Amino acid sequence: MHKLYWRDRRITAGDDPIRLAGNVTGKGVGGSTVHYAMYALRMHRSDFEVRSRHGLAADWPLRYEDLAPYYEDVERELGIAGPLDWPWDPPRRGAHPYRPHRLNGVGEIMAEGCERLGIRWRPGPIATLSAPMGKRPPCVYRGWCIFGCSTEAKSSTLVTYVRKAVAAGADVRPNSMAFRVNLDARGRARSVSYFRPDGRGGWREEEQEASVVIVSAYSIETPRLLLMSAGPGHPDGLANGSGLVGRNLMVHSSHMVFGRFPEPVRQYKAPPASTISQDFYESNPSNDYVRGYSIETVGPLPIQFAQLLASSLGLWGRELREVMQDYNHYAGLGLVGETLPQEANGVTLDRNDRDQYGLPIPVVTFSWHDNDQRLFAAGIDKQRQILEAAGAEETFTVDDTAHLMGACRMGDDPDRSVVDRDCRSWEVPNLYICDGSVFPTSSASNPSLTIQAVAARTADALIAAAGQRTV
Amino acid sequence: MRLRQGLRRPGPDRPVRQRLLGLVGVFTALLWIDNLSEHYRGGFRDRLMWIPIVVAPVAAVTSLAASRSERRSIGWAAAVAAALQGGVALVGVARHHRGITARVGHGPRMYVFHAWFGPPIFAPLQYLGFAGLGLLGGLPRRVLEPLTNVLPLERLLPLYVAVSIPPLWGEIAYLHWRGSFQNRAQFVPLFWLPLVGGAALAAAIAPGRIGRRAYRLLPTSLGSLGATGIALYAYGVHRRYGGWDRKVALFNWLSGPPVPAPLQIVGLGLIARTGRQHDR
Repeated sequence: MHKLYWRDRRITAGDDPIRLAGNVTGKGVGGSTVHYAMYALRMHRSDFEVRSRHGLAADWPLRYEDLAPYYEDVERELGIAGPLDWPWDPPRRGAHPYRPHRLNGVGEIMAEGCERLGIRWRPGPIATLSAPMGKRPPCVYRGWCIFGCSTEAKSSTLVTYVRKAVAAGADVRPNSMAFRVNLDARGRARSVSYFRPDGRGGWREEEQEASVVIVSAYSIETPRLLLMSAGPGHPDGLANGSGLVGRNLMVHSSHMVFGRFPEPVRQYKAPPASTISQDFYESNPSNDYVRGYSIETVGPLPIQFAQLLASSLGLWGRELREVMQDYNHYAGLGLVGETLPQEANGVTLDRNDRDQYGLPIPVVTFSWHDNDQRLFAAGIDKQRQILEAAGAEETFTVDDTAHLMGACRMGDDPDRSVVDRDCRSWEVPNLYICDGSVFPTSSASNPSLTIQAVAARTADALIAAAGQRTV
Repeated sequence: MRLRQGLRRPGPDRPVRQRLLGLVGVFTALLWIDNLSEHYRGGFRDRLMWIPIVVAPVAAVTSLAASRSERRSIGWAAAVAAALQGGVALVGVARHHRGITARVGHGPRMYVFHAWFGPPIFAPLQYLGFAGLGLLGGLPRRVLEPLTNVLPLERLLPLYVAVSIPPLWGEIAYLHWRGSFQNRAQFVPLFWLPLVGGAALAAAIAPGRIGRRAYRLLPTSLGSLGATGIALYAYGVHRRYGGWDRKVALFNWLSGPPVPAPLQIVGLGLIARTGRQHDR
């Protein structure tokens, strides 16, 4: 299962270095959607206007209305199973394409706690089927979702978009590692150089020419590739005239609170993504922070749970074994807390340290903003309140982060962004960046649906540009 | 007219009523299988869930016995069992409703959400329908005369079909909605059943040729819809992970589309057929 995670050598740095690999990046065809937790959320309208509303961070060059039709397309394509109504922003035109899944044990506990505290909750919209779709069967509630779905009920890009792309003639070259985007004499992207397995345990270098290059390697590897593509005309990296390639990297605060309950909860059963509340998503003048967070159910499997206990509480040996014997009695809630972009957070290259391909390894630097810390402290407290209202006998907190966003932000100003609103780089007209790295702000929603909606919009923009012969 | 004359003589409609009892017996047994699998899926968390599992076989056996016997006491036994089954059905609806509302959350949307995954609210009404037919078949003729004098069997049975269709339509609609109408065939009963219901109503109340023509449509239209439904639900189980593979067939049977459910529609077709035979 570890082959699903990007476990190549990286350095994590900053005041609050983030945990890499497992919950932030994927490796293989389908990327991190193969192991994601499947929450499929639209961003709120306010997420696109953080600077206008609060004088902080940045505005998106897009508005929610620009993305709304693409959200609908992606939800239909993936067969998102979600609630009948959505009491939070943004307003929906209709129900989700598929009906919601039943709540799992943790979901029922969160719902119970929310009801007692007057917090609104809903079954979370998630990217796994609740009824058949084509040849894909509905979910059978095994609960192994974050290790990849063997039944194909989970709507990863591996079994949705990639499958359609291959059917339409796309050539997928797995296990390859792109390391440079090459330009021609006119400053246009000409090709991509990459390593490919040579069949003898080594690598051979190949080059693929292309009329358009789209980089979709997510918030660490995309800026890394652009930085590694530095050349005579662009010594600081490709498309980096603004100096913002690799800057403004964001994560979500993903602090979890677990509670022990007298009755078995069986947190391993069914997809961990079950119940959600976004009652604390928007800025509230009574808070000592701006922006907000979502609260979602989590469901670590036993080995992960033991890892959390060992790394967060320092449990080991007899103590760890005793708590693990009560694994079935624990329920956990996780935060998706918005973090503000900071230029000091980002990706740089360590030219003195090389990975297995001989490439400079990325250094990922992250430190919390004061606002982030106040926000997640409030979120942790709210999660604890919910669990206690539901009857938790004791609780404990696990510090964690999840998701990656930013590091090649989009914008309307070439001096303040790497790509334009169509994800086209300002400096290389046929170079597009299409992944979560273009996010100017992080929102408090799991990013996968927005990444795919932005990708769908970019595809339309690319088709339009090709039609006008402006690529 | 022939029927009314017949009712005044001792037992000329007896064969029809015995056929009805036979249908009630067979379909109660089939419904019992569905009932057992659903309550097994629900883990028999409420002890009352055992009651229909015990009562239904008694009702089925007495109905089948009465369908093959001329003895008045067995007819009475079938009627009593049917009445008991009717009571169980009403309690069942109330308990199912309570099972849904006991879940966390409130409001109509939450009711719909929990009804999809909780106890099926309308399902016990099937037993209530069988109870009505069991009483019709089992009670002595003189007890039924106040009813059959007003509504002879050839009108009563299509009326029964017509009255059965709206709750059936509602149940199918909300279950197929849960399935997101992912297969266009899921829309078919929602269009088909109202048409058949209209025909059944016409057969019950329209005089002469119109009523007879409407009557003629019922058995085939209901039977074919029910049979198609069973086949499609079986296909639906096949589309689940592992399909009918013996290792997962029971799981898919319990959590997939309810394969026996469209038998209710076939049953309505047979009831209509019985009434039509009587009309001849």
